[in-house]
Amino acid sequence: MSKKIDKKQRLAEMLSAYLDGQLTATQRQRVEHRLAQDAESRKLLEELRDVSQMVGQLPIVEAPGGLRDRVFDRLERDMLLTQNEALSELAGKSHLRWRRLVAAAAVICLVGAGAAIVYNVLAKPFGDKRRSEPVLMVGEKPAELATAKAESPSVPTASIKAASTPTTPIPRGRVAVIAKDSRARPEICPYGSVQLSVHADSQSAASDELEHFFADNGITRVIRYPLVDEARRYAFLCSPDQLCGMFRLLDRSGTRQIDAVIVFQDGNRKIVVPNTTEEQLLALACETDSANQLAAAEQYRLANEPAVIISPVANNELTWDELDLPADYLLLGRMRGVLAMTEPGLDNLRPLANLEDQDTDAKSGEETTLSTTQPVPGQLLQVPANSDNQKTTANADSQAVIVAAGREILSSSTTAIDKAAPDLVGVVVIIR
Amino acid sequence: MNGQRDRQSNMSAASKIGDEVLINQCKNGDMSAFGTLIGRYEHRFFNALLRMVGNYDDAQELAQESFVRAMQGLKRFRGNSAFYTWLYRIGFNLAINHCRRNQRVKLCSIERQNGAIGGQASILNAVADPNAVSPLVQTQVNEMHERVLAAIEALDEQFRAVVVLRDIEQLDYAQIAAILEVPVGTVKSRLFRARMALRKELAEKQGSQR
Repeated sequence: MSKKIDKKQRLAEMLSAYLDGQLTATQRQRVEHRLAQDAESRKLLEELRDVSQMVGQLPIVEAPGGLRDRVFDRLERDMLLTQNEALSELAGKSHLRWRRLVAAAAVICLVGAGAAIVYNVLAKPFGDKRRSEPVLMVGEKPAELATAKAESPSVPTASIKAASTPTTPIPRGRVAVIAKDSRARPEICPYGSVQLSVHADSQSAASDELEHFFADNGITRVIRYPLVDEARRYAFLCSPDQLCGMFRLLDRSGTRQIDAVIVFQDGNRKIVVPNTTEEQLLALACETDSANQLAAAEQYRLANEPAVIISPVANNELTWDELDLPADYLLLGRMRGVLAMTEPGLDNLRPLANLEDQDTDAKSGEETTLSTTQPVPGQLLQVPANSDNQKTTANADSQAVIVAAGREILSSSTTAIDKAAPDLVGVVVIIR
Repeated sequence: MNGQRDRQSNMSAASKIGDEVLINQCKNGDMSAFGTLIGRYEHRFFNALLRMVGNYDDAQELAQESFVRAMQGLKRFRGNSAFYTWLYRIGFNLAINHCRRNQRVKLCSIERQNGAIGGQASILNAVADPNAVSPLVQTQVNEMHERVLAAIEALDEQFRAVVVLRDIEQLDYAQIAAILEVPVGTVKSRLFRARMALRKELAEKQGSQR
């Protein structure tokens, strides 16, 4: 009896699948043979078809309007909340109470940001030239954020006091919350993080590269600022390795120049390091002490100024071919970097010393071999950190090269990176 | 079979390529590409979820949640299946869990229906032509829709899912199996049993109205 029911059910299942055209040719033939012989099967097939059609004829209800916008709103909100959860975990303060506190702070700030936008758009369309921009906040402990929040002005600005004028050093590299602060300029990145000013031939191409970088590295927590002064601004967290990868990507993507910008603690002054190198950027981003960071930035700024060779007569820029009196150039106080001696043809570059030490080294006759790189007019040359022990003899007939990169700076930066590379660094990229 | 209601569920090659391109753009950070994907699927996806949960607000919430999760998990999407299969898997998992949590729908024991084969064809055949325009016919159609919806809601969520995916979404068994992550044989079995349960439920409702 049971076998008979099973067989009957299997046949019925076959009818259902036959109705849907989901049988193999063999199965279909078997079913059709059965249908030709069995009236009950034909009746059941019609009933199943009726059921299927009735379900299929239900009216289609369209999705409510604005679904797309709500999805994007949710994604943005989740991004902010996740960001703060990640902060709690990174700070080792994963206690639920703190998570809720940080999440609540983010929501409050989000509401504040929304209110500020409404206020700026609707209630204050003209007049006030101060911009209210999102600020990349840094802080390591949720408690700092909570304290800062308690000290902040009331909504809608919901600013955090430490945003632009931190009274105590804030540990670097922890994006905590997005706040609105009318005092903050979009160019200002809180001290401890690093800001890159990218001068791109194609703004959109550079932005695309950056977006590729985000996608490839799984960096989803990116704050994309509204366009201000036709510059695109991004704020995000990444690892030091990722920072270097991003730098190389931007550097290869046809950018004219990448400058690092370090902002003083009071937010009113900044040091722009033109033509920042990858090593310099990494050192700046990983420097945990603000005084050291600013000092390094100042050194890099001096070192990175274009390697201009100045004629002792007319102060005109010279090409490599015109260099024939190296000793004269050594006396020019404006030159920084390494004086290099080369053999004819410039196929061997041999530094004597840094400018500050050149008198001593020249007198003592110590020699240093730098590299065998063929210099190119206008090219910035870097001095390997291990070049100090290699020596050669200065030749008065050799040509002189001013290399705008201090080896001591590079070597000390490398040491600093090795000592104190953090898990994450806060980065602001401005593409102009 | 369904004329204008043909949902074109099996994606054409062109639109499949289009999805792949959009997904790559999404992965590269182009959120507008994901907006395009939402626009491409939101209506049919919402409708399917609505038929699953039977509540407009819940369906809206689930659709939104599904798209959010799809976007957040897009990095893990390897393109082994079509995007809509992946999206529907997310959505139907959410919907089934939602139904289980809320017990919004009266469960109907399909096991008891197994032996009930045959009998109610005449009642089912009495359904009016949906293309007819007379008020009387339209009223009958509306009533029929209500009965069908009630019958669907009476199904267990696993059975409801296969009915929605097959008879509303017009997906083939392999696609349904991929979405629900069950063997094709299970899809076939569940679909048959679900249809038998619907058939019985509709026949009973029709009978009780007489």
